[in-house]
Amino acid sequence: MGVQYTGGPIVYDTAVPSTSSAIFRSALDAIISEVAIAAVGVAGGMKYTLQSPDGLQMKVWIQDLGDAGPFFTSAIRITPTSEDEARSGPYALLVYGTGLTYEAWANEAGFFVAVVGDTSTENNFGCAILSPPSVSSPCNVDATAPTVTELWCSSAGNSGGGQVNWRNSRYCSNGFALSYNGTLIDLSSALGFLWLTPLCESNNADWQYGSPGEIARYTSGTGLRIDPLVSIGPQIYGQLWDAHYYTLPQTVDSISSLTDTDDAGQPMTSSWVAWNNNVPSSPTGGAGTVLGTLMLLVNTATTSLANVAY
Amino acid sequence: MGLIDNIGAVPFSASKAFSSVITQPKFSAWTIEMVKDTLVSAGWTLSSSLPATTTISYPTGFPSFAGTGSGVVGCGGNALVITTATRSFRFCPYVAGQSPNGAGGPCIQFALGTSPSASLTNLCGAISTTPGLPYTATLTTSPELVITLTANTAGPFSNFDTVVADGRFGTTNGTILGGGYVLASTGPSPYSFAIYGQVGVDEQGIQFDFTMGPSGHTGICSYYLGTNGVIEYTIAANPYSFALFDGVTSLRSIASFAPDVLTSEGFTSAYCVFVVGPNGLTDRLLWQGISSISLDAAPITLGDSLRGPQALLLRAGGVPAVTLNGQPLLTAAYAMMAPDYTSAPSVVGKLWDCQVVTKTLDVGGTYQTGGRNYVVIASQDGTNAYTPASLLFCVDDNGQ
Repeated sequence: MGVQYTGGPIVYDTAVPSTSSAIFRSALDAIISEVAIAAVGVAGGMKYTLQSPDGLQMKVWIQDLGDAGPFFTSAIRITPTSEDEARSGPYALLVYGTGLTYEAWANEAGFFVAVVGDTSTENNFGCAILSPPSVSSPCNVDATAPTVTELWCSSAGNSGGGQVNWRNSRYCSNGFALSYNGTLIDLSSALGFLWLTPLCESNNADWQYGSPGEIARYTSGTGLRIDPLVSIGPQIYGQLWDAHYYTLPQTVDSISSLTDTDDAGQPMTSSWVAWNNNVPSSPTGGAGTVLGTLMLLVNTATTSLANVAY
Repeated sequence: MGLIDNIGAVPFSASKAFSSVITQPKFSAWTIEMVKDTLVSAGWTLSSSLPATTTISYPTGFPSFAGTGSGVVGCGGNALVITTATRSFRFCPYVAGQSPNGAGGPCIQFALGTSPSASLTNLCGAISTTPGLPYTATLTTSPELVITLTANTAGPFSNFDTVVADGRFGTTNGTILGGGYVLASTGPSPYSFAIYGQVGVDEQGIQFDFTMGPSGHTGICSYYLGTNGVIEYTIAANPYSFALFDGVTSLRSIASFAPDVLTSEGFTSAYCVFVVGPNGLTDRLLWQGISSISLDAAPITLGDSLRGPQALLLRAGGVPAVTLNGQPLLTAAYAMMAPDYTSAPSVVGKLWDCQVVTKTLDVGGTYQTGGRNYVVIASQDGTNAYTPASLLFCVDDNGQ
């Protein structure tokens, strides 16, 4: 398919202060407000409505409800919900007042927050409306495309301490949710974890204790860039907007300048941030994000993104 | 080239072929014949035809008779018995002066000469001129006396004819082998293989000798494929690859591939050929059995290493991945391998005419998608959290 460009604004801020709840929430508000189609006050904060180019929606709630973080810290709460607020995913608690500097990424269809350069703590959150396969996509070559009215997912870092999430892995093992056409799937559904789908060997490439999977890379040493397909268990639901998946591990928060091609065949250069990272458990492969890195578009391309045909 | 690798784009060759043969007398020969016909149909070149041969050695010489005998003789001691598919030919000696076949026996008699080589020359003459015996015999005398039997018709159908020597002077392995063909692929990574009859453990099998490698670094990698218990062999082929299997057990399968190394898609231009040997192909997509790889270097043969060649896929642990409409995912068959044991493997190209589908299917079964027909040449389930998937080989571009 290729990158699903929203063509809309993208905000990437690596200097989000967290000196206080108000300052933290205000900084996040400034970011998400640039991409949200609505913002409404709620107890302790605001709720924001995101809408993808497909017209699918979800909400992100950013609140101070007096939550405590680890070791006597305080935290704000970010909660993903369906547009009708009938379904909600696990919330993330992001610590403030301890000198942490956060970064946040937002587009029309997604919102990601984490501590700058940090993959070890649980202060991170990510949610996104997914792009389902288009009617003409290869996924629908042998069957009719389903009608999609709701499709979003989320990864919260704090739920179930010690678990992996989309900041330090390609999958979220605990604080995840995915809502599809009125049905919310989470850990209690026992259908599997929230995955970014890697292109890899056919053996159990996730088995880091045995024979970790080989990393897929070209002979030149570069990795493959594939669609950022999101799945739970065997079900692949769609792909993230303004994102792709790179088969090599990358330094978290590192920026790559890459070239894509627009529908006129013209090159367009854009920058991408490596959102997640894990240390390979062997030089050639291993568990977690060594089977792939989530790359998020952080600036508009040098040619018109509106010209991209997707 | 766009930013995203087009994992859905499959390189399709210009010609494809697909055949099968069921077990029958001379099954090995019919399988070899099928492989030849199918590959030629798919664009391979028939480089040569190999006659079946065997040798009979006479390290201690052979009887001779310098005098003159008399009387009528019948079948004496057997000097040689050649058994074809239809009958046996028994060669017996007599001495000069005697009248052969006086007893009216079934043997074919030849005169002993005045020296061992003269006797064997007469035997060769008798073999080569016997009506209905499709062999030519030639004698070499140095470093020892050796008769070479060569089938008059090249190809596999004389394989497994048998030869029994007298046991006192002549020794032979007893089976006539080696009849078959040499076939050469086309494309930027050309390779060839000889396919001929070979005896296995209580079975009539097929030998494959692959000659592969870039110029100046070629090598031969040999594989044996048995026939015992095989009900049917099926082959799918294109100008660069073939897969031969019985659809029942991975033991009865072999395949070779020269992936499409398309530099415009990010692959590094390289000579690349690999062979997946028996007990490797059909029940997995990471071929950890015996395989051979030539990746810009002389070929190496791997054993039970985890470093075998493989086809990549979109991972789903244990349960077949599906799209929102419940369909399996189809991707091009990216081939990944390393040129040796120490190098990191890399993605070297895409398998021609092949797709990976995230579904467990019966090997040998057919699959239709995108207006093309495929045959399943490998498949694995989700045991041990492997990704359930199958490797499809396109055999027909023209619809379902």
